[in-house]
Formats: sequence, C-alpha cells, structure tokens
Amino acid sequence: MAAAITTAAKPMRGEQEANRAMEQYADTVWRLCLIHLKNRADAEDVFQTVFLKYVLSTAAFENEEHEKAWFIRVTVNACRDLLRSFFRSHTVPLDQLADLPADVPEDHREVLDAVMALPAKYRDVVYLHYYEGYTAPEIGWMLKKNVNSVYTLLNRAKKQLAEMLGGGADG
Amino acid sequence: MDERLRQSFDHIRAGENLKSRTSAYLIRQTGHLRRIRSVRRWAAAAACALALTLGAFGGWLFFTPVSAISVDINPSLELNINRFDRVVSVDGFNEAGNQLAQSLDLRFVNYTEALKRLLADAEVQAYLDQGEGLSLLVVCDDQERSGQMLAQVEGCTSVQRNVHCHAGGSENSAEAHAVGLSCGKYRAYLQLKELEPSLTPEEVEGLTMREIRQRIRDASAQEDAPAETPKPSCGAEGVSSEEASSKAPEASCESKAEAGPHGSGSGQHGQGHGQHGGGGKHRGNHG
Repeated sequence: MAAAITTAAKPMRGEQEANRAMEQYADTVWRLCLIHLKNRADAEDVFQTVFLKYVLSTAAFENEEHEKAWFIRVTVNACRDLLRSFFRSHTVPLDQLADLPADVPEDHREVLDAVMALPAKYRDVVYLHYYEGYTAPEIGWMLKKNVNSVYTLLNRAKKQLAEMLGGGADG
Repeated sequence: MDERLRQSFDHIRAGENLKSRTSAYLIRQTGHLRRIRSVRRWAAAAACALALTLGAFGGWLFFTPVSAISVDINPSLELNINRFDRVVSVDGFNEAGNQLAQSLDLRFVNYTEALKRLLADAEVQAYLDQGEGLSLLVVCDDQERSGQMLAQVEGCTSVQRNVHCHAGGSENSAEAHAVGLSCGKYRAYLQLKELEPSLTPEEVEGLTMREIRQRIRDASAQEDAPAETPKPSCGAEGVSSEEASSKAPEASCESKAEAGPHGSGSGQHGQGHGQHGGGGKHRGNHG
C-alpha cells in the first residue's frame, strides 16, 4: 500500500528527499529515458534534469503512486522536448542504435533490440504496460493520450514485436 | 511475450555511478540556486533597509525645522520652517495665536506663502488697521540663510504698514518657550526688562507688540530725558553706531508707521529701533 509521501509544498526539496526519490524511481526514469532516446548520453542528461525538476518542484504528492506517475510524465515530456530540440534534431543520426547495457543476455538483448526498433510512441506504452503494469486508461492519463489511441498503439506494437521476434506475441 | 519483455526490461537499471553523478549534479545545481536565492534575499532585504533608511532620513530632513518665523501682533505664533523653506508646524503662544494657527492652513506651504496668507487674514488686517505693530522675527542660526529669509520676509511685507522685520539667532528660543512666549515677544520682553527690571513674562504675555514698544519708548525717554537729543531718523541703516556695535549679529527692518497710522511716533522710532537691537534697513509705508 502506498504511503503518504508529502503533504505540503516546499520551496526546494532537500538532499535526503532527493536521494530517497532516486532510490525509488531511478530505474523507472532511466529505462524510460533509454527506451525513448536510445542514447546513454542524452538519457543521462534527461535523467539528471528530471531529478532536478523534482528537487525544485513544489508539487505535493498524495501517495507513492501519484509521485511515480509524476516522474513518468515528467520523464516522457523531457525526452520529447530533447528530441524536439533544434540542436539534437540537426546533430544526431536518426538510425542510431540503442545504447544498451553490455551484460544483457543474448535472448533478452534480442527482445530489447526489437523494442528499440519500434517507433518512439510505441516504445513508451510497451514499457509502461508490459513492465510497469499500467492499464491503457492509466497510460492515457499519464501521457495525455486518448485511451483508444493507447489501445491501438499497444496492439500495433505487439503485432510488430511478434513479427520481429518470430511469434509468441500472445505470451 | 509479456514475461520475456518484463525480464528484458529488468536488465536495464540505473547504475550506482549514474546515481552518484546525479546526486553531485543536484548538489551543484541546488547549491547554486540556493546561493542565488540567498543573494536575492539579501539584496531584497538590503534594498528594503536602504529604502527605509532613505525614507527615515528624508522624513527627518523634511520634518526637522531649521528656522522659525515668530509672528507677533496680538496673536502670537511661530512658523517652524524646514531646510526646504516649508512650514512644518505652527505653534500658537496665546489663545488668539492658537486660533489663528488653526484657522489658517499653513503646514507644508512655503513660508512666504504662509506669511501672505497670514497677512491676508481678516483678523490680522484688523489689528494692522487699528495701528498695532506686527513683528516678524526670523530665528535662524545660519547667518546666510537668515539674511535670505529676512529679505524674503521683507519682500512679502513690503506693501504692509506697521510691520517690523528682524532676524536673530535661536539662543533665547528655549527660554522664550519655557515662559510661554514666542521668540519675538520674548525679545521685546528682554528689551523692556532692561528698562523695567521688575517686569515678569506674565505681564508681557497679555500686551500687544505696540503696547510693549510703547512702554520701551516711554521708559527709554524717561531714562534718557536729561541728555536726550532725538535722532532725526534711523536713516539707511536706522541705528546708531554704538547700538549697532552692541547688537551686530542681528538685523531688523522696521516700518516708519510703527507708532501708528498717523506717523506720530517717527521721533521715537529711532529709539525703538535702536532698543530693538536691529542693524537692518529702514523700510516703511506711510499711511
């Protein structure tokens, strides 16, 4: 059960609170960054930006779920902003390969490569649905997308992954 | 598929190095922001303190009187004037003076304008028409400023009869106020007291300036009667050299018609003038 996190807005969060949030949400934020941007350097920039936004944010969270949803929304928006930025769109090759960890077993690397080969809008929903366990309405609320669009994205992503990974999409 | 995806994503984790770098980045950024906020806070506090100090200093500059004009006819009052030539307060020294001070809006106007309003007042005009002498004493320790103010006061009263303009220091102000007299009236009291040593301030309080001057003239005439050789006129300087040397720091300007609208007191005028200690110009307007 999610515990109450913060009840009152403060001017700036302290180091302790930042470390606690990092322990709790670092993996989620990092995966979203890497999946969305497919580049470690950019992912790290956004990762740090997200936690800086958290430290400077005056938002008060009702519980852990609320706080986690905030991190997901802010991370996806920060990734989109980076991709939209003039500098990056003119300097990063579009066909850049995913910068995945070296120690991933071959079988899982194949899956991750398949996910990374999907369009960016598919990758976010795939991760949020299959790993984080969010439903389509929850993903729609977090990413400010229509629920039906989320269903469509999930179905198309699933179909494409099945094609790339040679069946087993129903698994 | 779901499980394969879950297991695959699980291999992507934020390393400890990444977390350490991020913590260091946050400390750097927030420290910088805290410093900026702290500097801003201090700057805002300093600006407020400066504004308050300037405000207080400005208020002190504005509301601190550096000179005064004692106005005595029968109403007796003093205009306290700041360094910007504005009347910051008006003190009445008898009932008529209090009433006059309350009836006229003299605060924060230039002292020349205040004098014009005073002279235009019906009650003051009535006194002047009855032949009462109006004494205007500029009280200021700065001789240059005193001279400038006296010239301005003379300018304001140039068309009036029975007006005596003087200037002097504030050395007797505290004593005058302690006995409930304005500086101008106290000065006249001191002059009369020299001739009538038993005189008390209470006796003078109820007298008009003309009555005090009349008593000064009478007492002087009695004292000087055996050897008196009346001076024909106070002339351009209006004072004997002996008198001038004894009262050098002061200046006065006195109307010829001081003794009354009929000019009957011209022979005594020189005496009164000399007694008054003035070294100023002679200006007047015969009725």
